[in-house]
Amino acid sequence: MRKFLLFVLLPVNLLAQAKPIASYKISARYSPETKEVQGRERLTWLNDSGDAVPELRFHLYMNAFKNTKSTFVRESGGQLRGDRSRKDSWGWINVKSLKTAEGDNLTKGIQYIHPDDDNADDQTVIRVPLPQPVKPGASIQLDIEFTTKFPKVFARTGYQGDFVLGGQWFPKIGVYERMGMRYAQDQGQWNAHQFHANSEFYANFGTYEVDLTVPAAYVIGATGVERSRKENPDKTVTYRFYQENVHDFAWTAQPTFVRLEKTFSAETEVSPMELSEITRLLGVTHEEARLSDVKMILLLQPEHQAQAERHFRATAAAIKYFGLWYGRYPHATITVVDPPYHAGGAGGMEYPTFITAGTNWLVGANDGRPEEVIVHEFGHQFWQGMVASNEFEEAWMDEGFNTYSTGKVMDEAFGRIHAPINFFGIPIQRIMQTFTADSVEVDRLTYLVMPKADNLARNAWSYRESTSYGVNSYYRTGMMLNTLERLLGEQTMARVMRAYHQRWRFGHPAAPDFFKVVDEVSGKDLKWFFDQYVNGSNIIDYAIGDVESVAVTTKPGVYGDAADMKTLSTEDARKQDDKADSNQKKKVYRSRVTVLREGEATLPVEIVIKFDNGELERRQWDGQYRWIRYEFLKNAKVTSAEVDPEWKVPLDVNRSNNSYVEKTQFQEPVKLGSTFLFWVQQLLALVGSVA
Amino acid sequence: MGVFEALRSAAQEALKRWPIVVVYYLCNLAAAVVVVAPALMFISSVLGHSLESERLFSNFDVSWAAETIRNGGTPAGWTMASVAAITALLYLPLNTFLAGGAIALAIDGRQSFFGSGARYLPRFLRLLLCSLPCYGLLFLLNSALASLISKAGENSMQEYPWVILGWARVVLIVALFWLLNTTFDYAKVILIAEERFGALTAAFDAARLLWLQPQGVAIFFAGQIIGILFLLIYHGLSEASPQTSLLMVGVVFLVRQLYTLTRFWVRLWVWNAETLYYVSLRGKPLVLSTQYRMTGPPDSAYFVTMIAPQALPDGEDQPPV
Repeated sequence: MRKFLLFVLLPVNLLAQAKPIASYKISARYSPETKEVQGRERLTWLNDSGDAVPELRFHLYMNAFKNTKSTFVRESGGQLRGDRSRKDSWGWINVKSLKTAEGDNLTKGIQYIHPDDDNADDQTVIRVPLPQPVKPGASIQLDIEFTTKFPKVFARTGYQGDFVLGGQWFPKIGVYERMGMRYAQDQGQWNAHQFHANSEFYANFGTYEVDLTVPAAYVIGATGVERSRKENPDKTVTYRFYQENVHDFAWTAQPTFVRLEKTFSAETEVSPMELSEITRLLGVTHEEARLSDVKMILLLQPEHQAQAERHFRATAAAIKYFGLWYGRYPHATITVVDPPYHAGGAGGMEYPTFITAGTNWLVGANDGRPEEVIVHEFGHQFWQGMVASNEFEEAWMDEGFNTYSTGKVMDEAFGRIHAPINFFGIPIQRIMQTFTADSVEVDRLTYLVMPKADNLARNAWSYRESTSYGVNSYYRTGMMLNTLERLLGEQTMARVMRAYHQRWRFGHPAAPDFFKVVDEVSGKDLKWFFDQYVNGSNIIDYAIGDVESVAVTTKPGVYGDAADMKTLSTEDARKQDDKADSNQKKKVYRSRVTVLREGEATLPVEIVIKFDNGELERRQWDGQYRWIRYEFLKNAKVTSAEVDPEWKVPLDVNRSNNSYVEKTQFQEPVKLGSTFLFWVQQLLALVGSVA
Repeated sequence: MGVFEALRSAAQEALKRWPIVVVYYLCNLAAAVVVVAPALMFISSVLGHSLESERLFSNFDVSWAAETIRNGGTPAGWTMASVAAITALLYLPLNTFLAGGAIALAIDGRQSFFGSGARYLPRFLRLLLCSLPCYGLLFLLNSALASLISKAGENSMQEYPWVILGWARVVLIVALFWLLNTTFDYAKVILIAEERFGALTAAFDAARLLWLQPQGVAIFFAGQIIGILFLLIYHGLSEASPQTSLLMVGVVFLVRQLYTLTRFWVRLWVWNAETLYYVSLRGKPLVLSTQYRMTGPPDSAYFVTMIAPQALPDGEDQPPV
């Protein structure tokens, strides 16, 4: 088994590079007056398939904000994650010309297509027929001229005042999935979805070299490493950024950004003991576990300058734990952008080596702001940023995996956090004691909002509603992975996640690829688990039903046959029972504990029954049938019974019914009732004050 | 009589009239119990025989709340909300009734608390109806200011000026709320002291009084500030007393109830002080009906200079003498 595990965990991908399928050289100039970018891009696209590809497909994401007829606006109603698009603030992208490097003008052949719906008005995907197909293994180079107009900040891009976040801003080629890749079983096919409300991105890896020209007063940040900086006579500066092994490029600019830098030093941040623990946990060598130094660049709003250290600490924690658990962060930099007030739509977003965070002017000491969002967005570097699943089709494989990993990093680095509740802009934690929660509690809280609206395995835009998309792709997946971890054990799960990450680093996995790694590493066939909790939408709920302990009494009657026949009168039987009553040790109770399966989904569960003489009985139940009853004959009564006592199934939608205790429990009802009473009294006193 | 002297004298009076504070408190507690009882029953039905109770007691799990709401909490929530709304609606006239007794006693210590409550209830209810549009306007003003601030700041890239402006809005609205309360307090005093019937004119007279004698506002504001001090003391005590055992839950419960008592004491104190202040401004003797007067010695009639000699016909509100 161990040998097998070692085989699985071989660092096949530790130093792997992505195969550059789509590489871009872009030259762009941003005009703060018009909020437009004038750009030229040279795209080099490699046909990695065995097919001759006669056409190309591109994403023109910015057209999602072009008018109210786009699929994005139709689906979202003009609002996303609590943020609203601003009135008459449109964004668009216009491809002015598209030519091959050989000079063939393909502009006229551009057609808008809508592969996901019948919305002929959506202009977020185009197809470009080629004069001749791109042969298998061959490359094509295209020169594209475009203009992009940013909307006011909304849905991860746009401007607010003189701040701008350049996301989804250039014509970006779709993914041609070769036969055998993901779900392209019979033949290769283009995978380029429209821009939907509930989805993010999917793209090939490549190399980006981007020249960005902005006014000299602007402080700028972008994907990759800044390679050069050239001052122009027109009081602009052209910055060149370069990054390999990434599948997108984003940038930001604002004159008043406070730019801070710090180096994540692997040597000082990770102690030898931590490194040893990781090697033991994951079965890897020190060399494999070792991390690299990373330059952390922070672009902060001036009013948040006091929180700089918190931003750096969170970033460092993320680099450390994601690196230790899944493999070292392979890039030289990470840029963390703090968007300004009223640019919340630009916050909490991930692009390769570039993330946006979000905080408030006043924050609590340990209420997870801004840490949680930084850790989460950084986590995407390791999932969709490297293990580049298709977020359109399998959003849960990015967001859900990242929810799970973020929780683990937050628990490890920051412990239980306070609820980030504000009272007129003041973090309530500064005023009074608030409850704390770990990541499982926080994620379960949201999961329980809508635990059975959908399954996980569906297109991001096909969830019943946006809440279901959020609950399922983030929190239900998080709960599913937490449950899996508790079923497999911490070490096995850690190895599963490491193996999955390593195997698919710079790859494009689909759900079956993850299932396969789980089965291989755990040595178990977990099809039943994924069928129920990924492909299915049933909920899980085990409960203790009836619990009773009844004294066993002597039954009167005639016993035996023929000569041995004896009669036990009712009176004699009672006397025998009285004798047993006076000798408690001899008194026998028949105890029955019924365990119920209230939900439709199943899992093997453990049941613990405690007796008043201190005895404890453990039972394993496969959890399949609707109920199971356990019977005990003991000189003791049942005091409590509990299903899943070690809380291995956080997916269970009702923990309160997981146990039954004979003695009435006053503590929490009294505490909650007393608090509730006090607040109602104060509210009534306030109401009464007007009388 | 100055504001300070009114406050000082009224503090002693309010202490002497502790039974009124207790009546207020008991009414408040009873109403709160009515609201909380269904919730408590629901929580007990969920946790009464569950080991989850013990776990939550030592470490509250926020996901339990979501779990409980999901598993039957929504209908229970609606029941509780309905009970709470009905109770709050009934609580208003009940407080109006109590206010009549408390202010009448503040004017004439020999009045019957409950008898006065009943007597002044109709006119105090009318006053309450007059006051509601004012509170409604205040609510609208608050919303308008909030949206104005939000609109003004919608292009801002900084949060802090708008947070501070938001605080200023809260302070302004609270001050206006207190001002309204003060005005209607004086209106109540006028209704009783002058044996008036017109709630609206009493409110206008009260407003005029405060316009002419703005220091009269200080009594209510001073009372609220003292109330805030009590709140801070309560807050300090409760924060220092983590509810880690049933004993500590009991201790915190007592501290909370004590604080609630102080709220009502402050209310009574403010009314007494406002009455004293009003009477001192009035400059002519007060006459109250003898019909609802208690037998026995007065506990504080020192500011009542003349008592109406004749009894009033049964059940009749009398015009001012």
